Amino acid sequence: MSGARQIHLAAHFPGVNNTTVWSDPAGGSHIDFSSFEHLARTAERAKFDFFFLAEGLRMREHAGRLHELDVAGRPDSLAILASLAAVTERIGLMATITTTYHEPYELARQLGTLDHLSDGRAGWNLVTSSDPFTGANFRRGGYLPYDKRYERGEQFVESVQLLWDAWAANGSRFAYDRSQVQIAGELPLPPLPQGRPAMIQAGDSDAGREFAARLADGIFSRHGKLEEGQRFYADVKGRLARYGRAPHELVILPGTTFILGDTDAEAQEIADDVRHAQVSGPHAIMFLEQLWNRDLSAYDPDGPLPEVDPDLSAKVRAEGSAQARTLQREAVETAARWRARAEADNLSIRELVIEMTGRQSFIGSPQTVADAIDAHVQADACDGFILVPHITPGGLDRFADQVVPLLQERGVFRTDYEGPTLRDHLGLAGSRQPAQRQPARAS
Amino acid sequence: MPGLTRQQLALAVSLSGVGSHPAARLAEDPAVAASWRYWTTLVAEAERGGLELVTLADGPSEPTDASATNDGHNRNRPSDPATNGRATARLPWLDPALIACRVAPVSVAVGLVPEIPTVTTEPFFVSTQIATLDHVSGGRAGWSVIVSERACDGESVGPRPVPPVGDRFAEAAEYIEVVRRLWDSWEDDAEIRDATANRFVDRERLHHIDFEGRWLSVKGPSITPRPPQGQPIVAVAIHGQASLQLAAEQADVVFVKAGLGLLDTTQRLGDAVATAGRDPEQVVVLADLMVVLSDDAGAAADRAAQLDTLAARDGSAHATFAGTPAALADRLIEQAGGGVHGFRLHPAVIADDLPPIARRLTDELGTRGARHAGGVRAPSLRARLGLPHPTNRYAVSAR
Repeated sequence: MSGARQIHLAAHFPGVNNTTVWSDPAGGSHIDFSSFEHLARTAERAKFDFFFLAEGLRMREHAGRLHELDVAGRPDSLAILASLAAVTERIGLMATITTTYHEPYELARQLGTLDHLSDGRAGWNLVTSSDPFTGANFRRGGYLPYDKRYERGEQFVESVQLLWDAWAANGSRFAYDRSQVQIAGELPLPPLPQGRPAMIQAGDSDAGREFAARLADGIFSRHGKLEEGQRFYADVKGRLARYGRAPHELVILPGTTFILGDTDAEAQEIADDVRHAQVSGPHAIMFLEQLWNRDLSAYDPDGPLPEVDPDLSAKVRAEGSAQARTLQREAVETAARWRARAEADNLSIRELVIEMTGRQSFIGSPQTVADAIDAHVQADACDGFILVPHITPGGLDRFADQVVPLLQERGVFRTDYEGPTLRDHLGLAGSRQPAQRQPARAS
Repeated sequence: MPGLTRQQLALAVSLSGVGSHPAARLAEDPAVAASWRYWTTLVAEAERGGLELVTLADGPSEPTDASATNDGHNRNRPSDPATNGRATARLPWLDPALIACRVAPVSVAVGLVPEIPTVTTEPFFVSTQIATLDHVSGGRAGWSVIVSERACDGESVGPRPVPPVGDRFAEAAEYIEVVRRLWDSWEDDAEIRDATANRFVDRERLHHIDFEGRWLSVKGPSITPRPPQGQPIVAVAIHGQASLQLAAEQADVVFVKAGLGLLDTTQRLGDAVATAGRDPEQVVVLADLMVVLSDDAGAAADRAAQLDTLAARDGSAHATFAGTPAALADRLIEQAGGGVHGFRLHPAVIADDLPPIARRLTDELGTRGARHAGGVRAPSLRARLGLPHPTNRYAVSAR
């Protein structure tokens, strides 16, 4: 027991996408503070590491029109986390922040303020983007070429750390001058309770993994399945030694959904209903349109796939959608593969989309889900999970009440917080902080 | 009307570090300002006094030694001479918008109005942060607009162009327009949750704002549903012609300097509001006054003199009153009228001067019939200030 690795868990506020089943009778408000308070307090009662918010800075559009099918509307992340600091005491408060549309000065000031206001519970999930669709809401527009994303990301992190150090180092003054960040001034913010708020990162490319290995405290990974998770885990943890870091100093947390039932069979039935709610007929057509890049509204979602090929000539119909961009890369080949799959298994459009868009999920009785989560961690597929409930705000209640106690019983999850800060929860309390790290040798 | 009648004085307090006097940080340990406990205590005190709103300053109203020469901070007040090299304690300055969000769940009635600068920030984020504050506080949010007129204040962002000093009020006018349009970009009933039709929102009730100005272009709509007040309060402080014009065009609440010239300023403001095509009745004018209070008038005067000595200068950015709460009540009633609806008091040293405002002054004003006893409960900050719930500029009335 005592030799077993400890699991890290976090709670993702249900997203502005079709994973969230807003039509469920239990589905509550996505903007009322009470919803955020409910989920954050549930996660804190369950002793989770942190509460997590995604970021989306432009309303989703499809084929030039605002998207209507899914949950829409969200608060400002840092603002709502500052409010949550008032109704929670221990849980970490983490916001996703793009380095492209935020300014280092504002972010350092606001995230630093959140760390003070929460007594050391602030964290951020750094993402890079180069998307001019979102840029239309900001001064910078779409100025950042794709290949400059990590250049700016790195300078963003470096300058934010300089800003946090300014009080102690230079009487609050700072000056930073590189290609993507050129700033000077004064930031009268005393040293933060955490020194530096925990920073996780979500990039998956080679550059993204190297960035994380050098600078991040954690990774919001997309590799939740056992074997691909083990490959990813070995790859990224293997990069740490280059920067003089120990394996535990980078926490790898894939996102995952979950469905609980009294029995495994009941959970599977619920999961089937949930998937059909997540992928309605209109959803299935819209998803197919992202790949085909054509108007497919005349097709029956319960009928066969289109025989025409994707249109590679037209503008992408789902602007700003990372999923659509990925699909577009190999559209014709992917369409052919999907068609073959649908024919082989006799799947309708909707059934195929349900098959193809399933994400990592734990489905079963509380015992089954607890076993599976623990098995992933003990097998070095990850250090834990960021759980994504599909119902707001009560979607984590049953997990907190029924799964967490099982993990605690087997000694792989804390029964109480050991320290006050998010870095403590992540097991990073004693680790060196990023600015002190240099590559062991020039590569 | 659920709010104040216009015979009642509106009362606001400026919470600026450990106090608005330049020597406040020498009279009080400034380190307290980095703790949330300090801010929740102050806001609880303001609620005890039944104040309409508190403003939360973005930085010291007068520069520190360091900032006088090289400053990344954002002020709209002219630079004063440095404090003659006198050593000053380090004054922490947290982000005021997040302080407001932190205190919102633990307060119930007071308006929360952080100062946020325009030159260095994004209107999209200001719009969503104030909207979020309004959602969390149940309609008590406002934004006090800070327009920096110092060249160096643009240096904390970049690389990107920053408007030259002479154009900053023109940019601020665009900026406020963008923020206001974003607040309206969701109609109140945009979320329809029609499960039969698989529609969570009605796109006909969501609006691109398509703002294309000289300084800013923003597409919209907002990512945050329309705040409960529709339009949270926008406040602008007047200290010259450009700020007066901005206030006339865009402000719900206007801060003017108390004392000589007050009547002239309010008359010019009223004219400019009318010229801008707005109803002067829908602009709330609050006069700024720094206060040093004591139950003993002589003690108050002594303390004011001590503070001025510590600061090693004469005068301050604000007109100052030193005396008893009763005398202050008389003075406020005497100065009200003539277009002034109330006051924003600046406690010289918050620890010393906020409690007498909240506990004594409000009683004195109540005794004189100028305040409801115990303040006013209203459904929103706008209602409390006697301002109507605004119609949405994008709403189609006949649907």
